[in-house]
Amino acid sequence: MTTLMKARSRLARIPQRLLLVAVVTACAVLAACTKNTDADTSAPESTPGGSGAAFPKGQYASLDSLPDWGGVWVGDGPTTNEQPQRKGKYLEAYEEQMAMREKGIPIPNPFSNCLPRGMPSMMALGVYPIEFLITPGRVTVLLETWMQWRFIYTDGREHPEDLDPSYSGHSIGHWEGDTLVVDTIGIKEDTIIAGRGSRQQGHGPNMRVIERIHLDPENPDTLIDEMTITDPDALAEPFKQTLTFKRSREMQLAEFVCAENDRNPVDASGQSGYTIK
Amino acid sequence: MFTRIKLLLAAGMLIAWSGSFAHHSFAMFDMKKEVTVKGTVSEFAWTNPHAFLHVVVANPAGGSKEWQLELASPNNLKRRGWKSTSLKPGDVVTVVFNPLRDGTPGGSFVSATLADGTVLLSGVKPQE
Repeated sequence: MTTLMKARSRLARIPQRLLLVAVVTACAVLAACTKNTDADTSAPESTPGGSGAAFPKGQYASLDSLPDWGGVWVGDGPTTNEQPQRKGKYLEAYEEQMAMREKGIPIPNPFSNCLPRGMPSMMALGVYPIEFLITPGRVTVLLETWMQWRFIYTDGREHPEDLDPSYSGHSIGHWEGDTLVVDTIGIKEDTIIAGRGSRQQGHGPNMRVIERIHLDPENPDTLIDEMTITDPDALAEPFKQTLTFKRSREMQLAEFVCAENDRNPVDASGQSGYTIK
Repeated sequence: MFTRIKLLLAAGMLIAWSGSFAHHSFAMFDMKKEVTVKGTVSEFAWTNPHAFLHVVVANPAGGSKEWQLELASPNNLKRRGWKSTSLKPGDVVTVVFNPLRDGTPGGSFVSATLADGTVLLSGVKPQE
């Protein structure tokens, strides 16, 4: 018996129903493999609720109905020096630092060693522009200062349970008409909450930042970020601030490598120095 | 006339950018004091997070002193019309700056006037 005859004989013994299942399975696998090469309008099954990057392909048509946030946006920074209502040790730290200022002692500031701001004050830096990249399943905010970024997942996922704190935190968002609603948690405890002059009192591990970001209905070249910050450990009441940004169609984000020539080392007391070469 | 227009433009930008921001506090500088020196550029570092201008000032009694002055970041300077070649080693400049409080020969750059009368402004103001 030749090899071919043996194979035919073996094939004949496989029940026809099983063969049908095998063929259907093979077709399904083939379809799944070729799926990403076609114009695809559905998210890969693994994406919603996942922890990976957002949709790799498809759903671009769904972006057409979103507002035009093109260009780059230059922040006005905090428009007031209003301070959050702190409590507990965070209030004590703040009062201690205000007393230092009264005496003319500079308030310790760790940021001249090139540490990035992180959320939420990274959104409140004036002068340096930011840019929004709106792609299927994710809005990415690129911030020139310290070359920071924010990933705002809009693919329906939840915050992960085992979240490691980070400077940008973990953001999920959804569109309510032309408004992007963003929920951010998992922010490192040494970031600045808000307001000019609010230095490094820090905040609790459960600080939450809710943002409603939209164009100004009166002026589409102004972007408004209505921010509400809650923190069960550090804040006596939610802190609300409104940040505004002006659009530039001409400007581009530039590189900002802080380590390139940082001549302002921070000493043990948290004060910035000035290095002469 | 051209220089005056340039200066006015720069002043306009100064106002527009008055909410400027640096990556450290200005407490180390005596912002109420302005020092003016005339010297020769020895280095112009077009670097982040701050550009730096080094100016060598001759001492009439002999010797010289180098001042190392901090400017805004190149990103901001560029948007205010500066170029990496706005100042070059060998340029004779009159610079105004807020000196360091501790007497170290450094400071926060305020303006530079070149030999041809061109005035360059930094526009950085403390954030407080």
